[in-house]
Amino acid sequence: MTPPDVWRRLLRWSLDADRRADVEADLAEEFDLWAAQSPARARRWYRRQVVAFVARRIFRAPRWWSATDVRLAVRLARRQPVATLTSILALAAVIGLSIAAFTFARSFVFPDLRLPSGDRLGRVVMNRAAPGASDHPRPAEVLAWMRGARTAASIGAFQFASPPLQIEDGDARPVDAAFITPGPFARLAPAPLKGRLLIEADTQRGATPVVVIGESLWRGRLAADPGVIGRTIRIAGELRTIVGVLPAGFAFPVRERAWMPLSIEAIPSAGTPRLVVWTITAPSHTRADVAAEFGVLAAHVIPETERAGTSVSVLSYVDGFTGGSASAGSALVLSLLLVFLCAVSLNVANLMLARCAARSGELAMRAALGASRARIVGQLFVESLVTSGAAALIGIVGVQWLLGWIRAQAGGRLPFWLDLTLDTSVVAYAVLLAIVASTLTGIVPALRITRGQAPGSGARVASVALGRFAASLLAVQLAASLALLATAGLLAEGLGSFAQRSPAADESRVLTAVLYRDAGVSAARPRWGSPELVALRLELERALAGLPGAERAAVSLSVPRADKNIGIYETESRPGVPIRLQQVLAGPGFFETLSVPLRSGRVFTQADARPDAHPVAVVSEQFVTAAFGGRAVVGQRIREVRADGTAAAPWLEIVGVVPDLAMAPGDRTTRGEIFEPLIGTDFMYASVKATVPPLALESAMRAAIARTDPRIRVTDVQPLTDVGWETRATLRGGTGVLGVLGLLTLMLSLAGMYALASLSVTSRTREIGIRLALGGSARDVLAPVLGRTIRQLGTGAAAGALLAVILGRLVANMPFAIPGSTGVFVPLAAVLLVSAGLAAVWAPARRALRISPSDALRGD
Amino acid sequence: MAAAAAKQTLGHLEFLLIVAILRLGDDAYGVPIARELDRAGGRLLSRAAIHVTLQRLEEHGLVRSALSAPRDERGGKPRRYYSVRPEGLAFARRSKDLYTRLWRGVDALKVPAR
Repeated sequence: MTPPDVWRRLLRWSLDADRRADVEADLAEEFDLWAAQSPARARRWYRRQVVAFVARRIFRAPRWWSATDVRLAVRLARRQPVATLTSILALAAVIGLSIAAFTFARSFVFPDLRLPSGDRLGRVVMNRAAPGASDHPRPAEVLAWMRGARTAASIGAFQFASPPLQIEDGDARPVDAAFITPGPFARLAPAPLKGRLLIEADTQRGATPVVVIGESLWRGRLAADPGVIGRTIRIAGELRTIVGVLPAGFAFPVRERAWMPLSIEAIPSAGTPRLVVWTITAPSHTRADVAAEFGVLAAHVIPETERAGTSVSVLSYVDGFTGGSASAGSALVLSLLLVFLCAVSLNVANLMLARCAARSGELAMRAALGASRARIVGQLFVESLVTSGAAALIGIVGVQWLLGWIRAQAGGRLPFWLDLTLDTSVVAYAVLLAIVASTLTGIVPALRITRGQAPGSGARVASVALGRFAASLLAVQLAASLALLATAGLLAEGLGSFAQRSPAADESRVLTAVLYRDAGVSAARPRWGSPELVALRLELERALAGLPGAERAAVSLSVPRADKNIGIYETESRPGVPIRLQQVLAGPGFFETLSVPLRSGRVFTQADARPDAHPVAVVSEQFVTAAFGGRAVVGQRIREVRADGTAAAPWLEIVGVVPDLAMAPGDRTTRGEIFEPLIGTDFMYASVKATVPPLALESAMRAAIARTDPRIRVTDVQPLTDVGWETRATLRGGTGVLGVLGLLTLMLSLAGMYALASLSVTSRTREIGIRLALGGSARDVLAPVLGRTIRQLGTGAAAGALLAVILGRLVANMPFAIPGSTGVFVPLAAVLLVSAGLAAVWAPARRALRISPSDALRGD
Repeated sequence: MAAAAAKQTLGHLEFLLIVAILRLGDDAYGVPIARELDRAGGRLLSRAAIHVTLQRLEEHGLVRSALSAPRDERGGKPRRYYSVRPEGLAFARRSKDLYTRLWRGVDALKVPAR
């Protein structure tokens, strides 16, 4: 065994020629001694030694920097606090964003699954030609693979579940769990802390139902009970015996904390189980080999009619869950941020250049005293390194805090492969970014300023400004800052609209929850409105209304601010005129539960919610005004139409009018709300009007739902006032990020404008002096000096306004309710930008006008 | 030599290296020297630090080195054997005396046992 080649070369480079042979051989001899114990340890040891040799070589090299440079840089930073702080904050924001994105991207692009054979783990996905067909493999296909595959070392399957878990008489709270095939699972799971893993015998008919739980569940909900093995817990209404506890940190398949045995053979062929299949590729094969073999094996069990359009893909495990979009998206975001970093750095470079122009005398003196070009460039590089180093440090600290906050918010619900910790690779990335920024902000201006001969007069220094490129960059930045600020304004308005309460409803007394009946492994999903689902709705309404402390209860497909669901309708009186409405399916008692006052007619009764009932609707006042000019509408008819104008549903008779409920606040594309009776469904919102504080009802509500049907998953239990918090959080985050980025870009643009105007004034001091001496007016003097900067400001504002309008359109299409572009924010941001821009060039302009002709001429 | 001579004693690693070379006698080349120090110190020393210090001791005239004939088991590369010059020995003695003098009396103090 020999040391790694790259490291051997590095070592050779770091050694003096006369010592190279013997030291290299010494290290190789010791490497062999280490390798006899452990090759991996030997390689680690060798790498460490080489790094030490290389570090010594670098620090022994002729010094291009000195401690004095660092002192000078710090002194300079303190003398120009505003410029320094602007540069540091702007660079810190970009470096921070980049390393935060890198932390996420690392988990998607180079995921470390920390599982045995994790690098060969893949997810099997079916590609079926039939429209709407599931990409989940069917049991028969999985069995065919398990029996016949040779290219896969292991094939396993699981189903996600988040059933309510109840310990003795405690509350039933959902837990992330999986039904999983025991054998393949055992190949991935670590040794249990207590008890055993799942085994094949657990899947036999008549076997005791068992569960293996995670350490966090054991410590959290079972209070680290030492006698946990053999204890029974109720999961989805079924008593299961705990047979094992797995160590914390293990959360395969995604974030699970409880695992129950799954037998593929026991799944009835008529079922529609959402099986997720994973495979570990055999050592000498690739994922493509596995996909090809699985395709051939599946062909034997796929019905003849489907065979032609069906194929199998094996994706990397993480891509299998993110559809590959996360890794592609991460790469794109990282590249964009790098471009952004370069743009910000070039801006800071402009500031540095302006600073250099002011120091041209000092630099000329240094050159005259014998400082080499390398030495002067080195000094300027150290100055920029101090700035970007401080920025990287602030960026790292900020991201550390941000990641901690995200982890705390997620509370163990992040996928196990998402590693949100700052490790060496993240810090190394931050250092790399700081070096890129220093090179752009220090070396580029330094090389320009020292080009040709030794640094000379102010005039010569100023003439090397970054020229046209810097000016166009300035216009781009101005445009970006305007667009960002205008979009932030739009999001802020969306956020404001969410703060509005529905004027009609008494929200503080209503508790809501999302209910979903999991059909489980075997059952096919019942048809919408089937007798079984109607019965389920009636039972739920009864159970919820009967809770102690409950006044009314109802189910519906949405509650205010929860979802946006738009339908296109036409009225009988004006056929062919489409009208966009928020569409809500609401069970009987919905309006009473939300304390919605009735304006005219009646609300829904049980008779309206029967499958064979006469179709009726209740509409909101906004619709009545928009479509009927406020006339009486009870008895009028309305129906849903398709995009092409054909009828999509039968006519509905309007039986009542209610105020607007702000179902999707801020959406100005609709003309009101329409409510239709909810007949029966397995997904719904439950609302309970309480006579006590709403959250006090939570436990009783969960228990009542579990008694009605233990398969129902209950999530998002919250007072109606809290509904829509995710959207509010997204809007708040978006407003914050865009606002901060917009302000930073604006600040930088202003600094850039100031720098360009300053440079221009410095370089034309003599010319300005002559003009003034000859009796030139302020306009004559300022036009050549500030003309270009002002033109950039105009171009930037125009381009920014255009960009803002496009961004506004894009934002309005996002899945949460956002008002359409109101057109207020673009001119507002433009006015801000132009006035700030004029303020930035005011100081250099005043300096230009104060130049005394005699001083200007004498100075040369 | 001037710097070392001015201070008359050796740095800690310099002292350890001279002692290791003395102990190893004719077998004092890079690998056994490093291993001897690892064993005595109870921790792994950076080989770069060892080689740079050896080079400095040689430049100061305290040790001398000589290359062996090329050796097959090292891919035809030689070993560099070190030996201590009388000046080096004198420096090591002075350092040892300094340590001994400094320690004298410390045992009598109530130094907290760790």
